[in-house]
Amino acid sequence: MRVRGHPVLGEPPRGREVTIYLDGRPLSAREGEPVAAALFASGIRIAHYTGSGEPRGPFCMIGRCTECRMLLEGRGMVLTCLTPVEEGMRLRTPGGGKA
Amino acid sequence: MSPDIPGEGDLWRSSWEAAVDGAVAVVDCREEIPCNPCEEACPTGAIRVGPDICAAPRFDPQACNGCGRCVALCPGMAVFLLDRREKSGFARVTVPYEMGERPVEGEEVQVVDGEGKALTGGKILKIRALGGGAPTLLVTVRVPESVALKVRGVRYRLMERDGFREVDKLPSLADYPLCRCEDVPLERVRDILRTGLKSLPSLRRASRVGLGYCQGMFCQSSLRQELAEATGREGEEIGSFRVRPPVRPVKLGFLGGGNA
Repeated sequence: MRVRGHPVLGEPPRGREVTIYLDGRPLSAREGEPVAAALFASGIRIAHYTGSGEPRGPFCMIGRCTECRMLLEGRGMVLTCLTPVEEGMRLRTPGGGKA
Repeated sequence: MSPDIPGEGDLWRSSWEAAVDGAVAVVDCREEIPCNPCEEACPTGAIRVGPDICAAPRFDPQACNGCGRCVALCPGMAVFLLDRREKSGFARVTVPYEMGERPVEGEEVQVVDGEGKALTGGKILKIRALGGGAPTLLVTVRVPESVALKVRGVRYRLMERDGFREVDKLPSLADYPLCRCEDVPLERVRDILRTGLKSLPSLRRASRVGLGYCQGMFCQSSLRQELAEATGREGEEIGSFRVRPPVRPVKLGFLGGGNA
């Protein structure tokens, strides 16, 4: 999900195309965009699973609800809606007995 | 032409005066927000926002043809039509209507002001849709001229006309996840409350609601409400979770000056 032509903010800066990894799988992303936005753009809706295995996805997109949290290798749990994409970052989908 | 304009009429003097010849828009938009569907809706150029999308709309009643497209398309429901051609002390006001229960032409409805307060009753003269799939209905009501400029909507409830109806039973709330971080259903919290726990800290520790990743940002108010209902206490007596900065989760290393 990438916002185009926002009426107030205009066009977002378009970062260069980089590769990030989700559970080992390579995905294309734009450098500097929120990780949650990059995953949405790749059709990924599930950020983590609850203890009972329910899938959860980003909700508030402003760093408050914590529903978008994922494991980022080297940094631990991050809120993907607030975390800018960097080249080669490796994410894991936590929860559901897989964390 | 009436010399006295009721209420805040001076804001809409030109519309009020033009309305003696037929329907004309009344634009009650004073907010400088980025919004301009009214301008694009208007086929005659009577409403202009201009290149600065945050500017308040400017309205020229002489150019208005009373079509009502702006009424249907304003997302803020801030445009109305006023028609005073009857010249009998009554005016016809057209307001947008987006509720599920569709009113019926010829019926009496309550007309309400911008705060939802009932002004008077009014007869529905006409209901029309813009077409093209636009869902907003245009409802024209006949009201005394003295309130015409205050009307911002109509209140129409089938239950007020037909009496109260049985509604379908709500689905069970038992499985509703009161705490999403720790995956605690509402029923689990109620089970714990039945054991007699009375304080917020003990309830939090026993249920784990509020100890998850969001640290109570989302679940605290629901938990306090459950506790208030179970113990018959007021919200202030219960208190709240201790809030410690930062209010959003950050890494300790970041606070320590690292770039974690």
